[in-house]
Amino acid sequence: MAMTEVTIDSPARVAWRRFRQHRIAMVALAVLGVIVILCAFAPFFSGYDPLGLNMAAIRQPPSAEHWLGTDTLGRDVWTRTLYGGRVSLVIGLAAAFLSTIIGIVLGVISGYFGKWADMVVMRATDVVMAFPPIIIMLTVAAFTGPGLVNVIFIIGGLRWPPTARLVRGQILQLRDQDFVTAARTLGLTNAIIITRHMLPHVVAPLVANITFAVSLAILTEAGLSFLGLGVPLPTPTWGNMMEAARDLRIMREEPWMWIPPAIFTLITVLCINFVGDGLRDAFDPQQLIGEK
Amino acid sequence: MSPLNGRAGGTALGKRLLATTAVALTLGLAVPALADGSLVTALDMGPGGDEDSRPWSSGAGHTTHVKQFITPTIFNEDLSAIVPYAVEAWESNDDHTVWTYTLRDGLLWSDGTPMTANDWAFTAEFMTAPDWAGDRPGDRNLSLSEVAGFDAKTAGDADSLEGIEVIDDQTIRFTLSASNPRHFASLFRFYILPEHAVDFEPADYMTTDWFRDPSRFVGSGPFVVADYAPDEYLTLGANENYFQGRPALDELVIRYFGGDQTAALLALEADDIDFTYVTETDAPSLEDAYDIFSNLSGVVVMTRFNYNLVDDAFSDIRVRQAILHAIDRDAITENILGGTYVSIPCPIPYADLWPEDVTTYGYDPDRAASLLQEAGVDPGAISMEWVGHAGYDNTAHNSALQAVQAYLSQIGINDFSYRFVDIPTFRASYSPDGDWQNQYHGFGVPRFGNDVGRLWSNGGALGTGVTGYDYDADGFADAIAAISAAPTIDDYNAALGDFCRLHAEMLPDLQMWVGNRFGAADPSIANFWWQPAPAGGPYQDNAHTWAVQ
Amino acid sequence: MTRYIIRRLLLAIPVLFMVTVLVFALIELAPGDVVDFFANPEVMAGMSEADLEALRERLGLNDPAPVRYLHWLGGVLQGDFGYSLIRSEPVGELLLRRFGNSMMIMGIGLFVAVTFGISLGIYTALRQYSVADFTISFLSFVGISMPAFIAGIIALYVFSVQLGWFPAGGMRSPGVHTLGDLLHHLILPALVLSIIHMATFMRYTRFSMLDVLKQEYVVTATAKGMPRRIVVMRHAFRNGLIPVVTMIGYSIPELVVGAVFLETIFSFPGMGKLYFDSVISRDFPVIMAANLVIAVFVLAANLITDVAYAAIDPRIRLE
Repeated sequence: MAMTEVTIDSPARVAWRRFRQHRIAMVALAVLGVIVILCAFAPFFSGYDPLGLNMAAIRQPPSAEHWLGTDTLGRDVWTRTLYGGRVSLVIGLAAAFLSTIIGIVLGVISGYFGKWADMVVMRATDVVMAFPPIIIMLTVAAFTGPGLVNVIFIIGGLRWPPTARLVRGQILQLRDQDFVTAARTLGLTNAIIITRHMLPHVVAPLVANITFAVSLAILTEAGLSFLGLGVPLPTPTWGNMMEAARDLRIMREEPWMWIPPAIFTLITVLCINFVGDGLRDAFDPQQLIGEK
Repeated sequence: MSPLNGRAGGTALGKRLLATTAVALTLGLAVPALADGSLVTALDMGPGGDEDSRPWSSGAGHTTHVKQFITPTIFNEDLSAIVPYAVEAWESNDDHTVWTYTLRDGLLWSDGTPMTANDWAFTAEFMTAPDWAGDRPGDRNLSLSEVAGFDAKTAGDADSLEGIEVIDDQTIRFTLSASNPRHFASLFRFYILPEHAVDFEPADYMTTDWFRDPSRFVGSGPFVVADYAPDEYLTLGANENYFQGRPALDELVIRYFGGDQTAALLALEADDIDFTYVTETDAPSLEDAYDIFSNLSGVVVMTRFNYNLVDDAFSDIRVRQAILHAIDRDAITENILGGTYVSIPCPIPYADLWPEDVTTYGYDPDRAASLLQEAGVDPGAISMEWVGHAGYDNTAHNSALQAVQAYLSQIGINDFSYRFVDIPTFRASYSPDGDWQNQYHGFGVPRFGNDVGRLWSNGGALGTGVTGYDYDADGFADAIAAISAAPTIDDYNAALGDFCRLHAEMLPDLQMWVGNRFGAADPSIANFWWQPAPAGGPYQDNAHTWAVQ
Repeated sequence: MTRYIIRRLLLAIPVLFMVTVLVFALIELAPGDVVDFFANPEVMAGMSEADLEALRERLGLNDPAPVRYLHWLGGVLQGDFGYSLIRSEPVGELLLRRFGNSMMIMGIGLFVAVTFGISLGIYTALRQYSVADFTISFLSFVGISMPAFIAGIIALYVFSVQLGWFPAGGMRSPGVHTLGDLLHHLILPALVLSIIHMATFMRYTRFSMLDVLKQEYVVTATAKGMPRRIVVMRHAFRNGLIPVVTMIGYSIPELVVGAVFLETIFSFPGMGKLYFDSVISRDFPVIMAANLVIAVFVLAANLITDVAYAAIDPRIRLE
């Protein structure tokens, strides 16, 4: 017990120290920071109004005046990409956070306590997974209408089953391992066993899961607009800017309208992935013990 | 391997399949070429198409139906007139209540049986059977609801349709329950079915395979059913007995794209198909490589108010006028819609029918502001949500609506939003307890057939009072009656003009624009013709002359 | 184990029942019905109010909801799924065909995604933070950073329009019924599908491999001088599989109905597009039956996943 106590003292600091040594993760974190700053303080990085129409300058290729060209309404693409990032980042991160929290809680209950709790939670998971999202989205759309919060709740509320099953799978594997049995014998509470001893082992797959949940949410948001539920235009989002490429003319001849949000999405998702990579290493329980 | 015998069974097929596979795999999966006289098209793409429809029970898809069946009359090539097709001549009595039609000489069904007036009468009786199961009876109503005894027959109170009388093999007489000076124009979707070959009951209309089964199908159009793969394609073969001569093509394949224009356009560019409908945004860039067919769509795009729910301010016509004055529709159609649309003064899409003195509501933001002031309405307090259906969720209309939003904010209406929903949601909102104030949608107004009565009358197809506007009291009932009763085509056109003027004066809804629609065909097809007719026509496309060069 | 499986199968009955009730309720809650679809203001083409009412009556839409549900359930229990309201086809036939189509494309797509995903996942785990790791990660993330529809357009544009290697969508050339032709049509959409899902399998494999590779028993095995390849394959890989298996289980139903945008751009008649089209037209017999099939599929996938846990890691007891 003494040994475990020692590491419990400062896991966050240990983790941070380890994370800092991780070059790619640090670079990724920095890039992510730049993207967040660009989007959050968009007005400082662009002189245009993201909603400002300019009939005299529609569909213009990139130029000194418009770094990334203009769209079908003469709006500045660079500006819309930055403003679009505000919405998309919020949706992506919030929806991923929501589905991860629900997934962890249910997965832990299911895997750790087993028996009827497992049965109930897993059957609920079955039911949710058995619904193609469109039918739920359609019905919800009819009652709530469009809006950022609704989008987050719908995407986050439907994405938790894989997380729950993932966490449950890991917990099942750990439940009867020696260190858990030992902790239990020592009389540690379930909460401590779960949070201090088991969850760190689940971090790895969760990191991958969050990465995918973020990109999925960013992309799904645009798809929802078809049902009258997405964030309504003219508010830009990376998703609805990319959807413009459904139009062959834009896809082929005016790529400046959709490639910038695609690249921003890609970089964001990549950075989250590499940051996650670093976090995984930083929280790696084996390594923590090993260092000690 | 011809598709006609492509379903050979048993071991022979198995062996052939194996052999072909082996060959195909070794040859790098080469695609077997279609027969020389084959034309592969996406005729059922775009707003005129309907891949799952059958004649007499469809909202669209007439481009395909008319390949298989002939109709008594038909639109001409450019949709400017209704002309004889299966009939040779017609005459009516003085008050236009009795119409006598004479069929062409020597019409044959695809199996060689002569077509007679009895087939015509059979079709009329079949479609009015009380248990006829067609799910979209629009064309049935168009063709037959004016015939005397229609209500009694469809209700099951009469055994036969009173107003239909076969005079001889080539002559049939229609007695109407009310005068119609242009009855011949309501027969252009009357697809005559073969009495001797129809082996199913009216109650099985939607479930029968007959329309797609090569072994049972008998038609009269230039083509007959040759092969059908559900969801994939319909192959039509030449009808040797077509009255205008055997088609030059051996096969006309109609490939299905599930309604996605981008998918169809990619197939066109990959040379997999020879023709498809293309969107207004894609058409300009295709002009060099393809033959572009285009014409006015005849579909008026407008925003309609649900007066049951609308902001009280909108019951004042000055507010509605202000909205129109505030939006620069010409700038939108020219710059944002790329000149493929034009703005209109009323829901009549044909410029030659607009009266010269019609109010046009040109762009005039100052006038808009003063109208609002006169009405005592604060633009900041107005809230508008326009809802369209998913058919308009494309680049062109998204851009146009965002522009509308920008224009409205210039006169101080900042609370404007729009969105697109699926069709049942959209339609369900048209009711006293519906959800939205405004709908943004199109409505096909053909030159003939008094369709305006369906939207601008109290008892129209939307149901009584669902929009909460009293059309009859504002003179629309009279205007529509005048269109129906116009004795000559000039009177008819003038009556449409009067309707136009009345609409511009009363402005129950706001007309926005009407667009052209486009089709792109591979230049290797000879004599090809296509029109963006509302619902697909039908119109004379002389498909029997189409040829592959 | 057998008892566990039997119990799960029995439990599937109430779950399926609940799914059908919920789907039915959702369709009821959604605005409008199939008659609204037929009569939409754009193409209402002369239907009168009386026509709409007659149509509702004939389709049984005027009956109270519980009656309609029980009527549907009664039919299903006798093996009758009814008729599609918009497609003039028995639902059973329609589903069988579409499901078969989806299985073909999904089978190829999943096979490629799992094979390459897991292989690349192991490869990158063994070379963590190398240039290869970075490059492969980057490329695999391109696939999940753009909408499937756009990925499909790009693939079609490059490989069908520009290079002419593959047909531009569809499932067969009209009139041609050969396996070669079928495969030729399937390859491109299946590959795009696999690229979208490959990143998932790759990342999970990589993460859990990294995790497992540091476990004591692996370190011990390596220390004892076992060849690295054998250590990786025999010890590490097996234990790293749990999250990967979970994600495969999750992906299967998603591949069946979630490929709607890909099916659309490839004009491929699969389950995703069928479900989507049925929902937006309120074709209730098709939605109900399709959802039932999907639910059975999900339950089976989840059961197999759970059984696989026990097979991979004997420490996990099924209870």
